[in-house]
Formats: sequence, C-alpha cells, structure tokens
Amino acid sequence: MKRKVSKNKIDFSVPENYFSDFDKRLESSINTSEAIPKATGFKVPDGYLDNFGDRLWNKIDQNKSSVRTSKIRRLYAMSSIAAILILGFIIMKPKNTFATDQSEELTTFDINTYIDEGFINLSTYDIIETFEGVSLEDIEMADPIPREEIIEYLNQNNIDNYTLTVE
Amino acid sequence: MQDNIVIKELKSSTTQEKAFKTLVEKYKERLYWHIRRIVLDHDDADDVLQNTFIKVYRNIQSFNEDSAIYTWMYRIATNEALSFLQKKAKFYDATSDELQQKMLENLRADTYFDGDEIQMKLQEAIATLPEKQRLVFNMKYFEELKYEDMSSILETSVGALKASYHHAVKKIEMQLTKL
Repeated sequence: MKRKVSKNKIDFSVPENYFSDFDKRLESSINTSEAIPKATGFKVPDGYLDNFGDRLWNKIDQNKSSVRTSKIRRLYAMSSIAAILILGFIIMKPKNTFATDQSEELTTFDINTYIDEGFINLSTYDIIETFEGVSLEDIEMADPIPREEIIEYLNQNNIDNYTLTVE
Repeated sequence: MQDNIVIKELKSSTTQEKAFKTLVEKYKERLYWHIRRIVLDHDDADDVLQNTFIKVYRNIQSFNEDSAIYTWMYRIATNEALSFLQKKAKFYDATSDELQQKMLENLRADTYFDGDEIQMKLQEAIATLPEKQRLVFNMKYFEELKYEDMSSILETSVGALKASYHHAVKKIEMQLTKL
C-alpha cells in the first residue's frame, strides 16, 4: 500500500519569520537599485550618540533657567518702568496740582539727598535697562569709582548672569 | 516600552523626564540620520536634532495622538531641518540650489564624510533633485520607511510619493550611469 505524503509536510524548514518578513524584504530588493549605492559615507564622531541624551538634557535645563531669567528680567523691567513713571509723574507734575499742604518745591539738593541715602534702590537690571545704549564716557559721575575697585568687584562677582542672551 | 505608554507618561509631570529619556534613546539614531541626510554636515545635524527633541518636549502636551508619535517626531525633524536650510540660505544670501552646491563643497572637506567617488556622485545627484523628491528618495531608499508613514510625515498622498520616488530613482540612476 502506498503511503500518502502531504506536499506541505516534507522535511524542510525555513528560518524564523521568513514568511512574515518576506514582503518587507521583497519590497526592499525592488527598491534597491544596482546603480545606486546604499552606503553614503557619512560618519559620526566616536560616542556621539551615546552622549547625546545627557547633552540634550543639559540644554533643556539651561533653556528652563533661561526662561526663568527672562521672566525675572521682564518683572524687573516692568517694576522699573512703573517706578520711573511714578517718579516722573511726581517730578513733572505742575506745581499748582501738588497737594495744598506741600508749601515748598523739592530742590535738586533734596532729590540728591534722597537718592544718596539709598531710598531708591536700583537693581543691576534697572541700571542695565536705564543705561542701555549709553556710552559709559557720557555718564557723568559725581564721585567716580576707582578703576581698581571695579576690577576687584568683577573678579569677586560672577557677572555671567547679567550677560545671558535670552531668546 | 510601547509608544502609547510613553506618551501617557510624557503627559504626566511626575513621569515626564523618564519617559522623555526613553523616547530620546529609542529615536535619536533614526532621527539623526534622517536629519543628517538633509543637512549633510554633522554639526548642523546635531543642532537640528537637539532642537527637534526640545520641540517634542515642549509640545508633547499638544500632541493629539491622531498619528503615531514616531511620524509626529519625523515631521518635526523634517520641518526643523528644512527651516534650518532656509535660514542658512538667507545667511549666505543664496538660493536653495546655490546652498546645495555650497553644502556639497563643504562635504568634500568634511571630517565626518569618508565617501568614495561614487558616494560623492550620489550626493551630487541627490542635490540636483527638487526638495520634495530629495526627501522622498532619502526616506524610501535609505531609511526604508513605509509609504503610509511617509504620507503622514510629508502630508502627501501615497500615490504622489510613489511617483516622486520613481522619478527620483530614475534621475539619480541616469546621473550615476553617466560616469
């Protein structure tokens, strides 16, 4: 009696996923031109991709603090503008609109004394905003700070925060 | 980790950082090569890749999951790379074609390119293609993306992409066999 052998049950095997990946491999072969090389010749520096995540995270952290700095600067700028407007309003207001009990006009001496005694506390940001674009040579200082003192201050203080470029 | 889980974690402030790092690890290499083939220069590719991931990080809350995160990131990377080239052209006061020529000149002297003559000719041939065909060719020939994914990334129909790819291959083959 003849044994019936199923055509599908012969003793050959195929690699795992052979049929499931067949379409993909076929498409890839069709899409590959013999005239066009697959290699491009591009290289990356050693370890570039291994360090990428850390460098990216540092940049994100920097951006976060830069955004915070920008917000703080905006707040300072707004406060400065408000202060300047109030001061300007007080100084520029016509005499006849002053309160009736203010019998004497403020003299320049009074204003200077007020500033000298530290009642107006200008922050570094206010100074930067106020004197932006003004040459240092054009600023007249009643009591100039000696050059050595300025250099010593710069050596002892980190001024990087004031020179950040904000987006 | 599966992408849908990563997206969920990215949208929660407590798990965001970890999930983002997972996403970067998973896609950095593929996106790098996608960008590099557009901008050619390694340092430029590095800048664009970083900006791409920063945009992903900032805009993840607005990702509405209509498409896969993978195609969404590819779209951001493509747009970033193309707008980088536009800025570069503006900087050099050059047209898009002039910029491509300049990029090829730089490539010849690039430390991170060690292609032979045929590979250089290939880049020259790719540079002559219109922008869309150039993108389609790179994405299909080298990155072997599916047309459906490319359609989502480039917002172009599958039929149009197939036609673009066919034209691009023919043009490049013609240029290379002229050698």
